[in-house]
Amino acid sequence: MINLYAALQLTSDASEETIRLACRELSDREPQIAREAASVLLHPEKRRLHDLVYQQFVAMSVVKDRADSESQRFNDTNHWDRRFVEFPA
Amino acid sequence: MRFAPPNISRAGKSDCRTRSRQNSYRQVLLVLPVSLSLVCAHAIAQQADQQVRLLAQNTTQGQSPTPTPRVISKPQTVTEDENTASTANDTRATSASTESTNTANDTVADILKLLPQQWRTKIEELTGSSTDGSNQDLVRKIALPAVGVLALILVLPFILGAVLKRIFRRRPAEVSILPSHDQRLAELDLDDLDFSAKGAQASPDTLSTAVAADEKASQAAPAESIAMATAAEQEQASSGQEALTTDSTMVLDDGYSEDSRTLTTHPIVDDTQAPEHYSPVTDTNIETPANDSIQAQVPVGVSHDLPDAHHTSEEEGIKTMTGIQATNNQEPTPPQPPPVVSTHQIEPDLPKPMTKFGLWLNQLPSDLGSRYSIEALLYWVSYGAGKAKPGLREELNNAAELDNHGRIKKAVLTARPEVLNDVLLSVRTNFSSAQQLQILDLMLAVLVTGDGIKPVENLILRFYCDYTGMGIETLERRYHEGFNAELPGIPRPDRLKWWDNQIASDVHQATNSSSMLGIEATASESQYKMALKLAEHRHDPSRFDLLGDKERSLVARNLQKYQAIVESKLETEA
Repeated sequence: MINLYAALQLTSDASEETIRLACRELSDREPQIAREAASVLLHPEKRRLHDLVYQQFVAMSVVKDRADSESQRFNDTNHWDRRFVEFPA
Repeated sequence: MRFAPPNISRAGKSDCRTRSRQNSYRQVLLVLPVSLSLVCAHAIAQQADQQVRLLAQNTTQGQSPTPTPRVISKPQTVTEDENTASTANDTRATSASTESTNTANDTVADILKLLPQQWRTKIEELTGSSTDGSNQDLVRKIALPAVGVLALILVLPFILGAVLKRIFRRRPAEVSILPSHDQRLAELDLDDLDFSAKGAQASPDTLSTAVAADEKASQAAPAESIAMATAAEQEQASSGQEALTTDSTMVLDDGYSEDSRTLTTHPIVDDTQAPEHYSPVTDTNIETPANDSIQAQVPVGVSHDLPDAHHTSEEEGIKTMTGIQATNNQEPTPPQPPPVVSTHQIEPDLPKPMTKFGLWLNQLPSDLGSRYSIEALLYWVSYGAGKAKPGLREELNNAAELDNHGRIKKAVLTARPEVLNDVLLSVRTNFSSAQQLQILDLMLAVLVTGDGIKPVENLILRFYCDYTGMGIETLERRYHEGFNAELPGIPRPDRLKWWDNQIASDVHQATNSSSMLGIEATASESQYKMALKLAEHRHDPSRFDLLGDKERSLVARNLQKYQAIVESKLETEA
């Protein structure tokens, strides 16, 4: 999952206006990411679903990181490490 | 619609075999001491009788320790002399036997003389024989029953012990997860979860309702609707800003930051302050390498590792990602090891919880802590999917006093990653692999409805299966059994097409009044019945026999919702 909030350098509670401004700034450097961020985060329902998924990614990346750091067993059949690349615990 | 056969998983079969074996062991344990006792009693009686006979013979014949020779009957063709000799032998043998019996009687009489007079009188009354040795049947009437009674006295404790053990035997440790001493705490309070389609429509928090309302509003007055949504978002954002700041400060003060990953011990996070929004992503923890390229400043460069947008399926996305990984000279993923069966033996040093909530769970009696960890996991999945009752967070934050269920809900509603860690940790350490599988079944039964698994539920259940070692194959198999459908691919919010599909499907579900059963509202009666059969299969009590009564009653109550829908449909058509 692309961490759109990280790409925009915002937090998940950013207002719509803040997101719009950040997308505009990002569009110069990363037009595709900025376009995607705008299409998801500026759409109320998409943003709501995005935030739910985002929240889980944040939580799961922490759990996975903890499991790795303590050498707990983890049967990674979903390739979580690659999905969590943009979610540093 | 075709139903999947109710397969019993390997874990389930193994479990059944284990239980059957345990029952056999119990039966053997019950029967063995009884049988042994009876055999011993019989042997003692025989031995006593033999000793009496030997004693009598020795007394009569003078001391030869050899046993009495057995009298063997001769064949009919013997000669007269032999016959005479045989008769003489028989006479001698009969005489010896009579003498030995008399001697035994005397011996028994001697023993009886040692008893008090009252006892002797009682024995004479009971047996109708004189105890002075004049009665020839003294051995048969007194000695043998006495030995029998003695043997019975010896055996009786074994029998009583076995019977009492059978009556009061305890349930296996992994099964007894429910306390009987605290009914108030044992109430599995999941009333705040609303899994029904009706409930989902009533809840403005759910995505489907919001999408439906949005569709309706956009038809009527799109500009006004967007303005209202924006205002609501802004209000929500401004109210959460302060909490977020506090949260970030607190987390950093506690030392839980990216750097703390290298520490061997983790600080305990204070989860009593519930933030409105949790996000560890701040300006400070975005990595900024020295070469100030744009991609480095914003850590989104890995997006090229993800599948291109023109791929059409989730599976294609995964394959593409794997292919790109291979081209990046990364080693291919080795085959995954089979799931580990036993947790406790492999992880002797159990990890410590990260939050106060986790510590609290750990400090509870194991049965209560186990059950609460299931409850917390259910809440996590449900709330994570946006099914929390509106205003519940405020209600809990404003409550003067919280019971244990309220405390669990409050901790889960913080959505702190550390809470998920502690909940999963508790599930892993407190339950066997078979029970963890049943917990997965429980989540599939009470959280996932017939209209399919939601993206967040899909994510968490996949993660749960990996965390507990079951792997994705188990989830795919159980989902197929329960819903007669393939498990949807892992959510791919990094792809625009995935977003379009989600919104479209949610609009479809919101307009479907029978979505809980996974069928159209206009479906036929037989389709309703078949959908109910699937639901009954998911809620089959035998799938939860290793969990507690409260979990099973939760499943039963959930099934009633499905049955009510179908009954209502059938009544309407009738």
